[in-house]
Amino acid sequence: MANVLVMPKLGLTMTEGTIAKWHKKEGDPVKAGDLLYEVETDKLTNEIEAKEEGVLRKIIVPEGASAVCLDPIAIIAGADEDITGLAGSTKPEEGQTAAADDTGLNSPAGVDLAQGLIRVPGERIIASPAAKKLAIEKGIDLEKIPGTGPNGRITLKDVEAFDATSDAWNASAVQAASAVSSQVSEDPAPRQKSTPMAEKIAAELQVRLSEVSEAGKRTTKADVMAFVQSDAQVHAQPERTAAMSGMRKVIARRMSTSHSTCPTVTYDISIDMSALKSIKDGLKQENVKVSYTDLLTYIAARTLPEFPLMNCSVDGETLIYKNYVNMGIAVALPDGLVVPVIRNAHLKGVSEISKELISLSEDAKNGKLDPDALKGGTFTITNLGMFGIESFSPIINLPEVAILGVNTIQMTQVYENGGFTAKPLMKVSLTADHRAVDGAVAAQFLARLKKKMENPYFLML
Amino acid sequence: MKIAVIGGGPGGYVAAIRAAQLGAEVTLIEKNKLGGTCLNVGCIPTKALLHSAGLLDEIRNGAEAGIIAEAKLDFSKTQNHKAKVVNRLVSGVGGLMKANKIRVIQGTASFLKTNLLRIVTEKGAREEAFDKIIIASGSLPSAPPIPGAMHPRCIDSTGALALQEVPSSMVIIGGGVIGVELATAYASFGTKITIVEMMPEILPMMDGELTQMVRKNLERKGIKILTATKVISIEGREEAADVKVETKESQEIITGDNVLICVGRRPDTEALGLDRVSIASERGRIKINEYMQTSCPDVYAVGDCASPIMLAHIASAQGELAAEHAAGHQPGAYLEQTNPSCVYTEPEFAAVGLTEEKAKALNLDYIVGRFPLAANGKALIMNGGEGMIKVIADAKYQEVLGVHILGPRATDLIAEGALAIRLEATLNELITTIHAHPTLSEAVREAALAAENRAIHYINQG
Repeated sequence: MANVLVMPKLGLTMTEGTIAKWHKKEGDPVKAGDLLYEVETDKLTNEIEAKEEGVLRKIIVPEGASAVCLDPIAIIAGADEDITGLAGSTKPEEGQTAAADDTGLNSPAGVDLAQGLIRVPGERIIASPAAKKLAIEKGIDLEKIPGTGPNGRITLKDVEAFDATSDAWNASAVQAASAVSSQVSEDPAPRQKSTPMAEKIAAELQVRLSEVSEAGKRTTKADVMAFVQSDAQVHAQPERTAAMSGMRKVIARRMSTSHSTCPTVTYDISIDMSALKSIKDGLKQENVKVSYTDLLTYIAARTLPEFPLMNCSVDGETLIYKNYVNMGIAVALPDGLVVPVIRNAHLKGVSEISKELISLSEDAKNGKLDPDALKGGTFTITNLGMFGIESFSPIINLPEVAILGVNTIQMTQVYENGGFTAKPLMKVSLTADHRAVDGAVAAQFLARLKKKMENPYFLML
Repeated sequence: MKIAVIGGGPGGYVAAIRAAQLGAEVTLIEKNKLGGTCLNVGCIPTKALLHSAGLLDEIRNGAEAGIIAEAKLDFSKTQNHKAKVVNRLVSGVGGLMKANKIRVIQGTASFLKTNLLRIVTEKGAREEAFDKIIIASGSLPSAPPIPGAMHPRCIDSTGALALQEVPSSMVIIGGGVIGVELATAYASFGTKITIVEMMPEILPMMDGELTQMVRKNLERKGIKILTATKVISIEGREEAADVKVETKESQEIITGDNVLICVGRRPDTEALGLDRVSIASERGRIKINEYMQTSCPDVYAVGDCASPIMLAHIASAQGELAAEHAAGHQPGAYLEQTNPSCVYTEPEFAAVGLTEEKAKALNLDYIVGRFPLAANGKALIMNGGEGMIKVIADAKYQEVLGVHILGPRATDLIAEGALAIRLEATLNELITTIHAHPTLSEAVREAALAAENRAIHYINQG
């Protein structure tokens, strides 16, 4: 018994869907329960299983194309069953038109499906979401594209087949539109005029000319350029969708997990950077360049072993203490961030840390980072000082239990010895996992860190 | 609405007609003859003389095409023909004024207030108020401070057009459009011409490559051209004048029956009393915005009195726009880049848009298409295929940036280039437009093809 599969209606608001993927190809045998295809709406993607057994004889709506709910999308039948004219006679709702294909499906009267339905100028345009998306990407005005779908709907295929620079196509479309418009009683809206240069630049900048045009005025390249720089562009496309990159997905997942897993507290403390500043300046005069991050990494790595809880991880109801410090340093990338790890940082000198950090950062920025360099961290430092940030609550990089946020250095008036004096103060923001680290421990760690940073001679002990 | 137009040249009379079409009550004040410089002592009489000169050349050179005739010049008839054409056109403008119910006053106008004019005619002076006033007072030939330039043997373009006899020799000071055109005409009439130009090349605003070809053509006609040459002084005598010139290397004296001084023109605004009403101007040129409004919003200025480019068609374009704006309409933009420059040499020379020199100076990434008219059938028939069409387009989008034509009917052909620039067309539109055969216009398409290295009737150079 042959079955015509229709676009499922997966919710009250769903009017159409796009086939994201066919898991079977024409000719494949299908059993009930087999994953058959994925359907995409504007909100989500659903996997659809086969309910019947047979052979997938005909895919009517290919991958990437859309169909109105309850329109035929495929035929499952016996291997030798005659399916000619099948989809046309299985309209679930009266008055709906089947999608065009080469199996002899019905087409709206008077419409040459190969040519596409030509709209009357000014008529409402129906197009599939994928078609709309691609048209925006290609900078093609939907008004110009003849639709081959039901009721003249513009499908993805139509957009793909449309050549924006083809004058011949436009000319025939215009002629046909005139022929149609001469049969309607309403005054057709005037066709939008634009200069060749405006069209070229709009296509390149992915601007829809219909958004730029003013009634009765030919759109020029200056209009397109002005539009691109104006708020109109923002209003015309208030939203834009983009799939998350792999890195973004990882960040999203890990940060969400961290945020929902551990009860965190953030502790801020101000540190007088005078001593470290003079060390940094002194080294610079000896042609040794080190950054505050290098110095902080060195000092934190040598302070953490004094506070084993700060350098442990939580595994269910077990605490795993690490007898080594693998210091993660957050590195911002154009499309995300990574945290490469300096292994055994507690055993390394400042210049060794500095060299390693430079090389890790460069590898990260050039996409050459060894995946192993991102593993095994026990504590993380994240520095936003260069952006002028004064305080923030960093999210812990699990399975670690703490992360140290570094802020900007500000010259601040400090009262000491009966008078005011300006000092370079820097806040650090420590976020700690309260499952392992209580406030007192975090505070003691910060106090110790502060002492060493303000009095570096402690480091020699 | 009452609108006054001061000046009846191609800027003023066009503004008057347009304002009348839009329902304004229009008064046009002209101190001399309707038609202004263009019709009376500029474009039209020059072209009339050039037409006679061209005809003379064609008959002289007709043997190749099988026309054997002895050509003789009757210069007084040439001048009559010129006068007839001018008078017909001037009376035509008068007819247009009547038909559009425009009141024409023969007299002068000056400002008392921004909306009040003092009009002086033969009958006396009176004051009249208007809602809007359009100044189209035109320009006068510049008189450079050359010692001896006031001698009767020295003439300006007006004088050169009114000569009753063909001089045997003429020194032309200034190698701009006027100098080159009058040199072309009088050289054909048999005058021995020397052009003295201070700049390194004649026609400095035109494309250098084609200007070189123009120069060669002029020299072939027997015209002597001295560029980068300064005039020191003129010594007038009874019969002729000696012009002392100086190049980097030397000084020499050139003698001519007449010395034609055409080093440009200056705005004719002194008598308007602009200071009285604080209408801003700079060295006589009235300052205007894109709607041709002066510093007083109800006063407009168009054409030579306000535009640095002194051409009749610019004046007319500005006149129409000013009239529309004054009448409360929203006129289309005034796009100066569509302005064609035409030089009526033999063959003609016309250009629109950017020259290659300008494209270079603007640091643009451009491509050039060249098509020699020797490869065009119609040009070959008409003038032996002398000339070239050059199209400049931007490299990225192939937008047409400039069209330069040296050849027969160049001044008519250039309209296609101007339209292409107006419509921001690319080479593709020029190429995909079918051009008739056999015509000169085909060569415009071929030049566009050549820019893409795909000319059909010429071996591509790229």
